[in-house]
Amino acid sequence: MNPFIGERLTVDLTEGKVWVEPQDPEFSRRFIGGRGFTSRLNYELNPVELDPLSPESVMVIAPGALSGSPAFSTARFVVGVRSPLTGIFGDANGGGFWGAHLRRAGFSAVIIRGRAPKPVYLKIDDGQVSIEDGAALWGKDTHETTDLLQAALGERFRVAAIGPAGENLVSIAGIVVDKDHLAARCGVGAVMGSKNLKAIAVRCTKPFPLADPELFKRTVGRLRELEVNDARLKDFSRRGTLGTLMDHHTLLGGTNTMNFQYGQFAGKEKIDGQALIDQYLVKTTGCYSCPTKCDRWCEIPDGEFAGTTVGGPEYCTAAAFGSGIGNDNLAAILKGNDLADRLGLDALDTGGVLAFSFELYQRGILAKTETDGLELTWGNYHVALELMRRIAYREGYLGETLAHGVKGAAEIIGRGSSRYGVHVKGMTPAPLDARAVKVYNFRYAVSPRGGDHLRISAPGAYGLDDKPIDEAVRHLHSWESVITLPDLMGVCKFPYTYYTDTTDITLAKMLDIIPLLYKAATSFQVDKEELMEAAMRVNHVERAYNARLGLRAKDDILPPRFTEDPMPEGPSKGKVFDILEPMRAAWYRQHGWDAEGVPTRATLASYELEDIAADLERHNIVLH
Amino acid sequence: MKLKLRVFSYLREYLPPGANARGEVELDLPDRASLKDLFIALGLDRRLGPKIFEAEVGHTFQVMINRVAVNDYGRQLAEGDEIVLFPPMAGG
Repeated sequence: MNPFIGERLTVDLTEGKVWVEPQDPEFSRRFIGGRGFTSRLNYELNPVELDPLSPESVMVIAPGALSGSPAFSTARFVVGVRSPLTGIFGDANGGGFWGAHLRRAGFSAVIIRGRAPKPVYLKIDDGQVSIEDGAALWGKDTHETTDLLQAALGERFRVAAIGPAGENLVSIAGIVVDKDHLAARCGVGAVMGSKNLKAIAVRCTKPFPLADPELFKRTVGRLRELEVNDARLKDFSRRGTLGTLMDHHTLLGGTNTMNFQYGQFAGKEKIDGQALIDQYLVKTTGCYSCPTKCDRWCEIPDGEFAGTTVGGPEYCTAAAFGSGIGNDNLAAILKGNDLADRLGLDALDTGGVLAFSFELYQRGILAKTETDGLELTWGNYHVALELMRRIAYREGYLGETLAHGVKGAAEIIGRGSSRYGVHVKGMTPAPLDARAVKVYNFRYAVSPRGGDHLRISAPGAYGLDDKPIDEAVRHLHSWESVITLPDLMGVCKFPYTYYTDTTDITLAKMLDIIPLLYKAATSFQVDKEELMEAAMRVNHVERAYNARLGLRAKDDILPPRFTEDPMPEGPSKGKVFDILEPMRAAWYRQHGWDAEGVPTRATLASYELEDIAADLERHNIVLH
Repeated sequence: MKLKLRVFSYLREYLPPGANARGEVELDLPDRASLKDLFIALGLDRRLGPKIFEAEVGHTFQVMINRVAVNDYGRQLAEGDEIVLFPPMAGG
C-alpha cells in the first residue's frame, strides 16, 4: 500500500461486506484523483443498460489528490453516478470538511454497490469501516441525522447524509455534508437513497501523509505569498458569489428572472450581496483549510422566519429562490436555502423546477385544480417553500411531478409544457442567461452532465462574444485543462482559478504550485504537462461515456428559451442564442471529436485511452 | 468631458472622492480621453503595472461602455458615457 495515494474502499451493501485494496499507482498517475477517479470508474462500473436507482448502479466517491492536505482550500470531493435526473453521466462536487477527512482516513476512492436490505449508515473510523444499522436515522432531515450520529459516535465524526428527498428517490436530491454543504447535482442523493444508505460518518485522527513534507511546506509558503497580496481574492472573500455575480449578471442583462423570461430583476437590490450584508450576514466561514472563507453565515433576527440560521446563500441559490421565481424577500430565500439543506435538495434544480411550474401556471398550462390548491404566482414564496417540502416527500400530484426535475415534469405534464422548460439534458443551468453571454454559455450545451457552468471557463470568458468563433473556442479550450485540474486535485476553483487578481497568478497557482504540491504529496514525478494531459484525458472519458450511451450532436443543444425567444428587455434586449452550430463544430474540431461529437480513435489513443476506444467499438460505435 | 463610472469589488478603492456606496461616481476627463487614460487616471496601471495595456482588456478586467462590452484600451470615450469596470471574472 502506498499511503500517499490512499486506498480504494469497496462497500457491497447487498452482501453487507466491505473490503480495502491498494490504489493502483498507474491508475492514480493517469487519473490523479477526485473527478478523474470518479469519471473513469463510473465509465468502467456502470454499463450502458442500467437503471440508476437499481442495486446494480454503482456510486463512486473520491476526494482529490490533495484533499485534506495542509495546503489551502483542499476540501473538495466528487461523487460519480449514472444520473437519475438526466439518465447520462453524472457527478456532484462538494466542499465542507467531510471529503478532506475521508481522504485523511486513508481513502482516495469509495465504491458503493448494491442495496442494503434495510436502512444503514457507513462508519469510517480512520481505516476501520463498518456497515451500521440506520433505522433510527431514516426519515430524519440532514441536520437531525448529523446531530444523532455525532451524539452517538462523537463530535469528531463528520457526516455526509441524505435527507427525505434522497430517501424518496427525488431526482434532484443531493448529498449534504457537514449540514450545509451539498454535493448537489445530478440526483446523487437519490442514488444513495436507492441503496438504503442514509449517511457516511467519517473520523480521521491521522495527519495527511506527505511524501516530502519539506517541499510541501515550502510550496505552501509560496502559495501564501500569492494569496496574502491578492486584492481580488480578498474581495471575493468579503462578498462571496452573491456579492460578486448578481451585480455583474444583472448589468449584462442576464440574471435568471422568472424562469429566464427576463434578464434583470426589479427586486434585485432587495436580495443582492449588499442587502445580505445589511440585514442578515453574521460572519464569513470557510471549508477545510481555507483562508478565503467565502461562505456566508446568516441569521434572521425577526419577522416571519425569525430564528433561521443558515450557511449561505450562494448566488445560484439566491437566484433560484429569488429572481428565478420573482421573489424579492431575502429572508424567504434564506429559509429556502435552509430547507434545501435539511431536505437534501439541489437548490439550482429545485429553483429550476419551481420556476418552470410557475411559468406553466402563468400560461394556464397548469390549472389550479392540478396544483393541489396552491397559487403558483410569481413571488409567492410561501407556495415555493411548501412546494419544496412536497417535492422532497413526493406529496400530491405536483410534488410527485416536480420531483422528476424540469425535463421529467414536462414529460408528465405534457400539453406543450416542454417548450418552457429551461434545462439541458435534464439539468437546470446556472442563473446566467445564454442570450446575454453567448460564447461562454455554450458550455451548457456541451458539458457532460447537462446544463453545467462549472466545467468550462477561462479568464476573459465573458468577453468572447465579439471574437471570431474559432478564436473564442481556442481560448476556452486552452484553459479547459487548467479549469479541470482543481476537480482532480480536490482544491477549490474559486481561489485557485476564478478569483485571482491576474491571469498570471492563476497560472502560477495551477502550473507551478499545484504540480509541486502534488509531487510533494505523492512522490510522483509528474510535471505540469502531464497534469494538463490528465485533466484533458478526463474530459475525453466523460465525452466517451455519453457517446457510449448514444448521445450525439443533436443532444448538445440549448432550450428554446435561449435559442428562439428574443430577450424582451434590458441590456440584452433582442438577443437570442444563435451560434449553436458554428460553436459546436469548432468545439468538436478543437477537441478531436468527429462531426457527431464522438472522440476519434486518434484522440483517444493520444490520451492513452485505447481501451475506451475498443469498448466503444464493442458497442458498435464507429470511430473515425 | 463628464463620464459616469461604476466599479465593482476592490476597484472601489481606486475611485476618487464623491463615490457613493454602490461604487458610482461622476468623473471629469479631458476631451478625447481613451479607456487607457481612464485606467491611468484611476491609478490602476500603478497597481498592476503598465504591462496590463499590452494585453486585451478582457485579460484582466471586464469593461462595459453604455452597456456594451469593450475589449480595447484604445477605445475613445465620449461625453456622458456610462462606464462599468469589473475586476477579473472567470467563474459563475
